[in-house]
Amino acid sequence: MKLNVKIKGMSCASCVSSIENEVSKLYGVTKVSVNLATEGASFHILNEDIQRSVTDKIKELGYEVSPEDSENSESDKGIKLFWISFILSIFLFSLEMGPLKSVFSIKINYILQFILAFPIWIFIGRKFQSALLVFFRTGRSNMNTLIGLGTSSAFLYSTFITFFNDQSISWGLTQKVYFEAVGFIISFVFLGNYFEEKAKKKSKDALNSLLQLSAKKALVLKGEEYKEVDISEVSLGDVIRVLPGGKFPVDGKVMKGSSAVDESMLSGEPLPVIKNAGDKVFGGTINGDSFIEFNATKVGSDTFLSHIVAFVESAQNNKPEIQRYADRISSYFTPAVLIFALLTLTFWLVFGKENLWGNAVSNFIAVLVIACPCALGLATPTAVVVATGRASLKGQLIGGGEVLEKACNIDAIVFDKTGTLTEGKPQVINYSLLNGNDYDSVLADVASIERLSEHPLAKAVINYSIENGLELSEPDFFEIHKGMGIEADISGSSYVIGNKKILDKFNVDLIDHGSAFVGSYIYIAKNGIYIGKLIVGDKIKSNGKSMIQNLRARGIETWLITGDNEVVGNAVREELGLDHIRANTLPIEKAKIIEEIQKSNLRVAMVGDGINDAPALAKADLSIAMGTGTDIAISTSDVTIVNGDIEKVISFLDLAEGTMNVIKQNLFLSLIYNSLLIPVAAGVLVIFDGPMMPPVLASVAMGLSSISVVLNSLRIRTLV
Amino acid sequence: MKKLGFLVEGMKCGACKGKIEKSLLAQENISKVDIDLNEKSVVLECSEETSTVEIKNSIEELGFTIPKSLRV
Repeated sequence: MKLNVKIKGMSCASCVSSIENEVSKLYGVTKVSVNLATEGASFHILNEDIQRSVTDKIKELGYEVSPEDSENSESDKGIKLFWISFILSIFLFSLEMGPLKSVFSIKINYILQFILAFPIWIFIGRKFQSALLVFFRTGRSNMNTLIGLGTSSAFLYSTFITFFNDQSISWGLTQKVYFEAVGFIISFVFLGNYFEEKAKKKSKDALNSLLQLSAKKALVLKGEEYKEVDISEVSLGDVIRVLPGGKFPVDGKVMKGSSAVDESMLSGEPLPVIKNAGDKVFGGTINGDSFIEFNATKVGSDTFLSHIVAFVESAQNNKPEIQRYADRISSYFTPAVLIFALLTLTFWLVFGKENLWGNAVSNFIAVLVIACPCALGLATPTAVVVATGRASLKGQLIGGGEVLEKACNIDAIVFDKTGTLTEGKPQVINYSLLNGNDYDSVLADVASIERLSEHPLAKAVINYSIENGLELSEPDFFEIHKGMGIEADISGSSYVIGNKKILDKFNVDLIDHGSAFVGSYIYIAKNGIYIGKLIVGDKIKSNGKSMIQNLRARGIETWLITGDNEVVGNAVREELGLDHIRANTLPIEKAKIIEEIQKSNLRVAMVGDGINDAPALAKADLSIAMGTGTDIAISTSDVTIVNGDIEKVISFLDLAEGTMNVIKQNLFLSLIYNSLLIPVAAGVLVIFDGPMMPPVLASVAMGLSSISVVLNSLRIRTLV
Repeated sequence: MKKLGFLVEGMKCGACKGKIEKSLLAQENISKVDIDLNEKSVVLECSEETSTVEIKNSIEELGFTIPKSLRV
């Protein structure tokens, strides 16, 4: 039986190999595979009793194991921690300046506050304190460091006041505790984290959906007959049969049969490709209406699909994390605060008149505490939540806050053609007849005849006549000429319909009556005379042109990278006015081109919809998928445009830019009140015979900045 | 009543013949089916409103190919 689990705590390839090695040594385990990117692992085990020993082994190695699909635990944990620390903070607040203030003696009051604040500081706020330790060791700081610095100095100072009160009085330290500040700051940051977590979409299923593409079983010729075997047992040279509608299990060469194969998952092109003996076929593609027998030429990790999977996996694993804007600001702010606090300390030691150490330390701590803004933790998340919520109502699913920040400085956007800039399904784009022919009756006849054909283009013609409200009828006689077209008698006329070859065969002279359309031509001859043609192609999305113009006006380079040929690619490029084009590209080449553009120091976004775009999407700095496309493209991407409306690329960029501005304003708002109070905390007022900082000012700054940030974030609703 | 004829590829033996006969005669509007394995022909008698396209599809669904109809 098969056992699938999620393993948490793996950080590198050596974690993977140690789990694989150790578990495979266990009795009853026959196959092991662990994936770092998806955090998934699957084991083949002999029976259910083994399950226990596998999970025990993994836990023993120091990792967490959970049954598959327990994705929400992280954010559930976050909101629980918020509520715990928030409720504790409410008690802290009422002890410090609320109704419980005078219930106890000051001594008992402070001890109670310590008991309430201790778990918040050390357990709930653990990550901030460890960020502070990292800062002292390496000098690197982010938002967590600033929070750690403020809460730790507040907590340690207050603890000293509480338990070494006599000492603190004799040293002349200001007699006040900041326990409630510790509680509120940590609560708010957790609330912010929870918002961010909520706004994130699950994105780890990319590889799973890729792997699901491949067939699990294959019909392999063994001796005289075909036997169904597991795909892992297929070897090179095996003769494999694929049933109509079945999936090709591995790559190979057709030996017998002929069928229209749907390769859209690999090429992105919607028209099935006709495969005859000698043609190459690929694992994961879907057979059309006839049997095909083929010879396996590539199996296992050598197949085309496996190459794509491997590429997407490594590209995703090696993607650098961007530094969040709030962290960047904090990385300057933290050392600045620390330096200012140290200057305060020195100033009071040098220029103080009395109680040198007492005043100096008290003011030093006051600066550190006031500089730690609790609204900082809300600045980004509130903006992100409003933006992503708003966007999802408008049909754009955004993968989280980083995505909005990444989208703000994109220099080049690469588009896939089929399904992205075009509708992605073949349809009649032009229908013209020579004079003297009735459009409706000819179309009805042609569509009726096309019903006899399994050719991929036939469907487009039939749909076109149905859209035009025409009644189809029954042909009296027909003959299908493979690779050419159909001859048929219908409603008293005899037709020959198909490509140039069938006209030649029936000695019909083709009359050129002009056309500038790129697509497949279906010629129509009635009673032996050429009367006109239908052109089937992939329509360019109607708002594509204005979208490209808009991007160019913003100074963004536009690229078209397509697996299709140059003629079709260039036609699309010219119609829409894109800057650059690359045609005839294979999936992994698409990603290489993205890499090339990135090398010239441009930040590249990729817009695509197919499996063939997945490597490029994984490689790009920002990836946008059409919701009308394949699951794999969607799950590899940062943003999904639900209905495939290409114009939404623009509104997404606008939203990202607007949100980023709000985030910057929020960071300013969250820092400004506290920054203005830093001099007060440093004791400037004392110099002018004023008081040291009244503690209530810290709370006022906290409240004002949080409210300003939240109100400012709500403005984003007007952006989209 | 009308007659329809098809050239059917892939019929090899009595079993193929039986399969097509059975499937066609199960359709209400078809009253008679004549199959000639040598000529690869299937000729049937059916009601006026019977659809050529549907008959073609129903035979092809059994795994045979019909490249042309026969004038009968």
